[in-house]
Amino acid sequence: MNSTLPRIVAGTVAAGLVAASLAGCSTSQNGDAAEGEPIVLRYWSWAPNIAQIVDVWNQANPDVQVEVNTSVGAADIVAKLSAAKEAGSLPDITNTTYENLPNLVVNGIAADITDAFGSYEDQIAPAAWNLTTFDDKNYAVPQGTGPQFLFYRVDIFESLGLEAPTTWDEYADAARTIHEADPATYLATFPANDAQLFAALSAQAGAEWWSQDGGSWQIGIDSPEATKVADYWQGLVDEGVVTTLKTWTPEWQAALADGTIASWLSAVWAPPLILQNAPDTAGKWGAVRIPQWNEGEAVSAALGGSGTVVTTGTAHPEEAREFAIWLNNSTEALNAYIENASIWPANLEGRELPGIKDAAPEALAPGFEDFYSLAEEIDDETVPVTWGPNVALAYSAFGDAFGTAITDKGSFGAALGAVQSAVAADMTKLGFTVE
Amino acid sequence: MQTPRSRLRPRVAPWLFLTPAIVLAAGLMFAPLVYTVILSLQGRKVPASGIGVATEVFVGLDNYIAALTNPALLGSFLRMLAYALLSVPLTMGLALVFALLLDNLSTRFARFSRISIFVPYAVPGVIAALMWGFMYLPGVSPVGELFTMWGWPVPDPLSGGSVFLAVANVSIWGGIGFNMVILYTSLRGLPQEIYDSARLDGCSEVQLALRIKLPLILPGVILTGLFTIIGALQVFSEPNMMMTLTNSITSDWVPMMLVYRDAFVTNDLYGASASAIVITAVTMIASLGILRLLRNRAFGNES
Amino acid sequence: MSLDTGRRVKPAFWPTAILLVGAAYALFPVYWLVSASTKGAGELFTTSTMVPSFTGGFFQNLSDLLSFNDGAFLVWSGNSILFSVGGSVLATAVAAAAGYGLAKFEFRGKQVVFTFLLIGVLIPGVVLAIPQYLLLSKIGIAGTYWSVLLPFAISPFSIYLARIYAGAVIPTELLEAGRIDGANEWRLFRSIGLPAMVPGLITIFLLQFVAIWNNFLLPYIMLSREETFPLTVGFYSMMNQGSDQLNVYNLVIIGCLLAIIPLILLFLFLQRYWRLDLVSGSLKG
Repeated sequence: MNSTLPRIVAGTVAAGLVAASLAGCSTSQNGDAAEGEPIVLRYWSWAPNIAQIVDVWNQANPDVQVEVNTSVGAADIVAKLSAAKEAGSLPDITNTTYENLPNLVVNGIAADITDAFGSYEDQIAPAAWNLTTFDDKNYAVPQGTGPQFLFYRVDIFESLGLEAPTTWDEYADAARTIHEADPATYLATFPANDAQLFAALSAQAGAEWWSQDGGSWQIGIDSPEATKVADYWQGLVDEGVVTTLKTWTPEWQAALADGTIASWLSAVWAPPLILQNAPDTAGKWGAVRIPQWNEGEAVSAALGGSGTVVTTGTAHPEEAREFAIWLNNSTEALNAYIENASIWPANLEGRELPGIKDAAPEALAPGFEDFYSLAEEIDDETVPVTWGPNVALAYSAFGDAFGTAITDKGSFGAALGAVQSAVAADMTKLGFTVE
Repeated sequence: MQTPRSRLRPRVAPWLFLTPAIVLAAGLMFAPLVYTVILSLQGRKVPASGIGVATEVFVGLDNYIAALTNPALLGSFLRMLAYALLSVPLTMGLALVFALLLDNLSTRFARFSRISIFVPYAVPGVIAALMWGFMYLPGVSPVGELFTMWGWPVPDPLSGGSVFLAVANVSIWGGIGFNMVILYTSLRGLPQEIYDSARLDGCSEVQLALRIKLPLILPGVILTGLFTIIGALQVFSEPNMMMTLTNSITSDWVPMMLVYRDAFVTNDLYGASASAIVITAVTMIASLGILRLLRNRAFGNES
Repeated sequence: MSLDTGRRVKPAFWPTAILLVGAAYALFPVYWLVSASTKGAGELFTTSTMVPSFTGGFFQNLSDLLSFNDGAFLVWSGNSILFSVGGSVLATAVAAAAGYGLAKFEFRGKQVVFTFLLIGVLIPGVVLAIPQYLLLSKIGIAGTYWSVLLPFAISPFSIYLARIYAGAVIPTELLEAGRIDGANEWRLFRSIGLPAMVPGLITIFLLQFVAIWNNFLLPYIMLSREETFPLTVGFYSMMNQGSDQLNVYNLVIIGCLLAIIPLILLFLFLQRYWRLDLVSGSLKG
């Protein structure tokens, strides 16, 4: 008698049962609460030390626990959220950079939270409010803003008799002086992988990468103002007075640490990163406004910044909104941030908290203790920026176009044109009206 | 009692042995492939302008047309070919040379060399790319340090035409050992009597290697060569890792990177699916073509 | 292997030298990894990475690595072991059964099935990754350990090897004799087929182990919780987390070093199980 068949069937069934049961008890994809058990909210964030801050909430709210996942980085988060949406497993709450918020809205990931947050307008810095509100609907609770700074090595400048540049012309001169004095040193790098910085510099010059007029979009990536910025940097790169290292590479980190690069165009959140990358340079950096195109002006654009989004996939919209608002506006949360991370809050009252204003970052040299007051001033000088729905594509195209231009010694202006075409084509394909 | 003929020629049993494999392959290889095809025929559209929520729509062959007319895709294919033309011959050639040298009786330290050359197999592609990245970048390279000490200019392998060799080197470094060991064990399996008579006839070691050993292990060479070619056609992690370090590598440097970027970074899952199908079709046809060409040599009596 | 014991073989210079150059080429980056892992905070970019530092940097890096994110490194290592061992066991089992079935039976459709199973090797992992994720999500197991183990369990290359090996080492006459005696197929497999295949299965297990240990893309796409990451994905997330961690590169470097040690040990101590001759298909009966 052939008893193979029953035994194999039995074996398969047994294996299948084991598999199914193991799959079941591995992870639960939603925070459904059984009777008497706390609600569990899943929160994705890459912010440093966020777990400590979330702990404060968890201790005060035993019936609503927040489980934070720090492993999804800022670069991947849009893609991972999209995949999670397709799979039906979105987290309840997530961090996002301001640039990616429109993308999340278009993809149906960011929920409209006007019902809970709409009344907060006068408590939030206008720039941050504008970055998270579309058609009078709020889609994220802003966490902070990113007023731009020029960080420079005070010791290197002083040794060459240089002062902090206030105009781009002075900046170029400083670059030449530094490079002439020591051909192995540069004032700065022009990083092809930092489209965010270039976008901010273009905005400072008056370019509007995306703008809306009624129902249609205009894309000004290669507008004359932006091209002016591209040509300026092309000049410096061609002269050889700035280098072309990509940021966040071992080479760049080494250059920052040993003085090969003497400055960094960045924002208010940079000092801890300087310390992390170049610990031996602590106390040697000055922080001033970024150079201007015209003498006497004071204009800049925000660089980065992020907000907290309640997703459309949450099973507990009320609690999620409560947490998102608490995280960025409550005194307890902001104090926890001060203790465990660095923050320049979008919440106006939060800026007055002790610990934010009076502590100057360690990386800075003596004489720059007014760092945060300066940040507040610069914040007020930022030009409003509109982000389109495909910023990730724009940044990726920028990296390719400018990387190629640097490698092939091509034109930066033409590279900008390539980015413009790519962005316009993508938006048209999606169905937007692009002029 | 006579055993029924059906017992001697089992018909159901083989299928039962194959069931787990068939189920897994169907579910995890073919179903996803079919799903990719389905995705490739869709697209996203916003219903109104401004910021509206996009919905999935059927777009027919639009994505395929876009993929086939995308100059970047052709560029990435050509670069991948350049990479493969360097990495496959060098990997196989060096593996073969090393294997033959190891089989030479007069080689010393053979065991040490064999194990050492095998070690890179233990290193995952992403880690190897990071390590070699450090070696290549002029600002941190230890090789660069040496050159500076000797007064030579520091090389920049990642710039200009040498970028292909630089990226290929990472997988050559990782792949030689494995292929070498396979070929070496083939050589070890050959009957030694052939050599003795050849040597008596006055054959030198080199002639022995080239005229006798090599033809005998040709099936093994072809098999490992085939897998190396397939790996080269699908190259992804090494250039993807190096892209973050240098300006010379774009996000669509090879076809797999283009697919990855479209799917993951720029959020165009549907376009990426179409590109993926195109690329998979091309690599499949190329691989099957090469396989057919070498089929008889490689498999001998295997059906 | 016959060797004329009366003949002394003079050591030759060139073969030895070429191989040693090859060995140096292979080991050079590994040496660099060891040397760089001794660099303490701030030393990595300011001292020569070719000369190890003996200022305690290694132990500092080690302790920083182990305490990173509350011991994430050990969790990742555990996951790597789980995926590699579990996935390899599954892949070997599936391949053993499939290889045996293909090698020892004649049936209609055999060639079709063989081609069906093998063609998967031509589909690039990047292409499969997202659809696999979406499909496994629909069943509800995406993000679990099974979402990584199941795709690893189907390995066309392993099936191919198992088929060749089974065909070469299992005597068909024994099976036929067993059938005449009335034994059922499963019993024949268990008592004749499997034991004969064991050496080859160990090789298949080891090959799959290495492939899974070194794999990055599949777990990266399937898993989103840090506690489930294997080492490859863990290092990637460490490099991308950036902001608060001091000296991430130091940690990544020493982490990489620790990650490749198990495999190197595997090679050194299990050498006789690496029967890679079966891979070249040139077995003599």
